[in-house]
Formats: sequence, structure tokens, C-alpha cells
Amino acid sequence: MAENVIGRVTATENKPTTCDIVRFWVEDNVVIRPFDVVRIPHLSASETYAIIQELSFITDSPGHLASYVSADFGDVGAEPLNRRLGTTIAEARILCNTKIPPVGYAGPACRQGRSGQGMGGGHRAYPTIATGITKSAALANRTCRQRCR
Amino acid sequence: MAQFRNVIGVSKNFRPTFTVGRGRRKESVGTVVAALGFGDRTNVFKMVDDQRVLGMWYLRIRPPQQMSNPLQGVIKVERYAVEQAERDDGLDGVRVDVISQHLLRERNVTPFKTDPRWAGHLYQVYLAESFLKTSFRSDAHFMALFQA
Repeated sequence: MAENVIGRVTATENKPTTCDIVRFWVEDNVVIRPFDVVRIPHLSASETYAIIQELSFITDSPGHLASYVSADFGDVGAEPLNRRLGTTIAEARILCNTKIPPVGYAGPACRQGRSGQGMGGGHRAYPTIATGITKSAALANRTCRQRCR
Repeated sequence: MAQFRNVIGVSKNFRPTFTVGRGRRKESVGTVVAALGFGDRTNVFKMVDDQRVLGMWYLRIRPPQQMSNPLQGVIKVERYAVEQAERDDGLDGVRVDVISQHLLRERNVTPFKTDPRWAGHLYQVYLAESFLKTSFRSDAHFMALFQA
């Protein structure tokens, strides 16, 4: 499972994890897209499946002016030696939980893999949502295979 | 002293009233530094500290026309004179230039607006400082130690 982990759940005061939304930071150099499906294992062997809706990149910069200053006060040719502290945050809408919501803090977010395809068998417990997962999972797997070539 | 061969000290703040030079050429650091252009450095000044010889110079890492005062955007760099030749004749000018060039390249990105000393800050040092400060006790806790 470890090779499928692409990030970890992050929850803050202002943006907590809820029954509907979960956010996670994404490992550097991992390419994800909106509508990719992720699997998040957490308490009591429960798994949460979520579909990515928004991707944003945040830094420790307090404002755009800091970026301007860091480019030698507006020199478009300036190449900063250091990279500012920052990461991609993905916001995903929860599709279903196998046992319990919500996901815990710092839980791993995994790319939807073969084990996730088995969720199709879970449609008895989650009839409406499971259909959506199966379709999205197929899309996610196809994207993964393309990337592996 | 050999362990200080590849060690430098960088200061964001310095005392502008500190004087350098001798006799009639004596002048305050503030005067010398105010005349520096972007990327310029001063001569290396010699200081003797408990029988150890220290070379220090000042380097401007921000364009002065963008700064709010003449001393902003200048850092002080220090290095021990390790070799006997360095102690007698001063630090090698080429090496001082190379160190200065590396420091100048470290000027971006900046902690602008997140630290009032941003103009003299090096980002990697800023990150290390920020991390270390998270382990500090709060002001209230510190004051309580004395009031108990």
C-alpha cells in the first residue's frame, strides 16, 4: 500500500475535515488531477473514498508583494536560488466511508488502486454512491496506467 | 581553529557606530555601508578577539533605492583567519569575493512582511529560525520563572 500513498490528510482550525470534505497535501512530483479518486484508510480499518475537486498551491508568502520583492523587485528574469516553502493542497469531496466518517488527521491519502476496485462489491451497503466510485475508479486507474508507461 | 576553515558568521544587524580604519581614515561603519551599491562589499576589517583574528566585511544584498533606510539590506559577514598567512596578511580577497557571491545569490526568496529584518535575512536561515522558535517557551512562561 505504501507505494500508493501520495499525501497525507491535513486539517486546520479554519478548514477542518468534515463528513463531506477532506483536504490533503500532495507529495512533491506527484501528478494528480481533478476527478481523480483517492482512498484514505483511517480508524478501525475504515476507508474513505473521495474525489478530488480542487487543487491549490500554497506557500508561506503573506502576499503577492513578497513574490514581487523576491524577484529583485520586479525583475522578470530573476531566478531565485531558493524555493519558497510550499505544497499542493487537494480538496476532495467524500464519496463514501466503509465504516465511519470523518477521516482522522494526518491519515495517508492513497491513489485508488486494485483494492479500491473491490469497492464495487460494496454497492450493497452503498448502492447509490458505489456506482459513482466504480466509474471514477476506472478513470483513475486508466490515468495511472498511462503515467506508468 | 582548523574546524573554522569553512565556517562563516552572518549578521542581519550590526552597530553602525562601530568604527573602522585608523587615524584620519577612521570612520563609522554606518558611513562606509551607506555608500555601498547593490552587490558591493567593503574591505575586510581585522578584529582580534582573545588572540583569535577575525576578518569581517559588509555586503549589500538589496538595491539601496528600494530600502527604507541606508543601512537596510546590508549584512555583516565574519570569518576567522585560520592560516598564519591569513592572520598576518588578511583574508584572501578572491575567497572573500566567492563567499560574498554565494551569499548574494542566497538573497531570494525573501521573508518579506513575515520578518521585520527581511532585507538582511537569508531564507534558509529564516526557515531554520522559525522552526527552532517553535520549541521556545512563551514569553509568559519565561517571565513566570522569575516571578515565582
